Amino acid sequence: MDYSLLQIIEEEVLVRLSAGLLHTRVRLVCKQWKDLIDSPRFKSLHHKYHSGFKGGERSPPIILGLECNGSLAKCNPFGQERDKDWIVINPLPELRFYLLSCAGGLMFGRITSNKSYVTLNPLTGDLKVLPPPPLEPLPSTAIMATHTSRQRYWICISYMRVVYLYDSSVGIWQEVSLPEGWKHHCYAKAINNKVYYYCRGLDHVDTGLMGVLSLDLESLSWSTEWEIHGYSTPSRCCIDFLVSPALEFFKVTVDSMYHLSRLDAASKGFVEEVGLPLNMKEGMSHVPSCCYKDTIVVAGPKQLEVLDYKTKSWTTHKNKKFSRFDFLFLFTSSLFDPKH
Amino acid sequence: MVKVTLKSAEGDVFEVDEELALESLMVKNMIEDVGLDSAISLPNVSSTILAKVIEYIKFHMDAQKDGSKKTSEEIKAFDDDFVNVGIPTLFEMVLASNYLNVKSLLSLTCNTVANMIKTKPPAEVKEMFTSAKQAKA
Repeated sequence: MDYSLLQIIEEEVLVRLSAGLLHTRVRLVCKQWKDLIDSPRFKSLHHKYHSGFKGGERSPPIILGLECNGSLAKCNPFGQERDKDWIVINPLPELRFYLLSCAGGLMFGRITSNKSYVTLNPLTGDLKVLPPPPLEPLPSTAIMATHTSRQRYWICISYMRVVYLYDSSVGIWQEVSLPEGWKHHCYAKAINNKVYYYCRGLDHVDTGLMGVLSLDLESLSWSTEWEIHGYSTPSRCCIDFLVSPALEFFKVTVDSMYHLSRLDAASKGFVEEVGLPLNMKEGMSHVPSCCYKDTIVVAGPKQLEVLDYKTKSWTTHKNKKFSRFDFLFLFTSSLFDPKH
Repeated sequence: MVKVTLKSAEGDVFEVDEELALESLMVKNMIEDVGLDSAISLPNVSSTILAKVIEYIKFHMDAQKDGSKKTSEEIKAFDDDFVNVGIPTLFEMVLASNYLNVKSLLSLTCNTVANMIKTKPPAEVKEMFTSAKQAKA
């Protein structure tokens, strides 16, 4: 068979396989396939194929759970396979690595020993040490975002009124200030090329100005997604903020229950959607959750709860092992090379 | 019903309904460009493979029609049987559906090959592709 024709078959077929399978097994078949899989052209085709399926990914993400001591575990509640329970993983065995965020198959975190910020593709082992940001405060939020083309990523670490932004296409940190009148980011979530900050207003400590601001990472412009004045402090403190892919905003509060409130466009306020009783004998400081499509995943100590918020129904995955996570992340393996 | 004439690599002529021919986006574009008067020449597709592609499109068009009694099991059985051919034929069908731009057949044939790669050890996969390369070198 003509070599170029065979290449069409190879591309059409290989692009359908998962990044994990391509990297661990298919690359070993022959030199040509290794070169093909490692080429930027194929990586881009692969990404396009797997992300362009009815607005979502073809293969569902796994969930990563981060404990306060930095140890990581993964589980797979959306997959077809077994492995629904937590499995401890160590993406950088020789170094102590603290995960801060992930996007596009890359992990963003800090090496504990020398405090340097790094990006890592745990599948390929590609590690990139980022230049240090201009100031070294302990950030209040740290988030990674990838361009939909997967050719570019951004990292945003924030402290008070400033966001330090690293753009992989230029390789330097820039400083972006919050719009006038706003201070303090509490929570940040990224969807594609935008980062959404749950913020408090400046000089409004008593009257309570709260809002959701978004930073467009390409144009570096801010938009106000939502704001409310005269916000009375609720009896339950907001412990987390979630953004769905359809750009719905959720606030999480906890007492003996996990409460999820959705920002209602009509009433311009948070409306409580559901509550989930928690088995809180162990006194958890934080109940982490994350958002995938129309579901919210909540990690309790002995179970993983998946809420379909369109139908308000919970699915429970019992854990054999006891878990106490501070943060949850969605993660999908990719061939994305952080050097690009 | 309007007919379209397709001409295979060997020069064999296949007369099909226009509705069926339009399932190939490549043929659809050709018809838009040159019209229906002359035969559409497909120099990259052999008669055997063209006949298979037509058979596939026809089955699925009938299955989608209102009043079709085909169950999803029957459709799956047809698809499974359709790709249950030797590697050379399967590869020819991947190429033909790529060239003719028939998305559903391209998915079916590529997923079949992808599943073979998933389940076979790397050495056997290499063997499969090497022999395909030699078959028509």
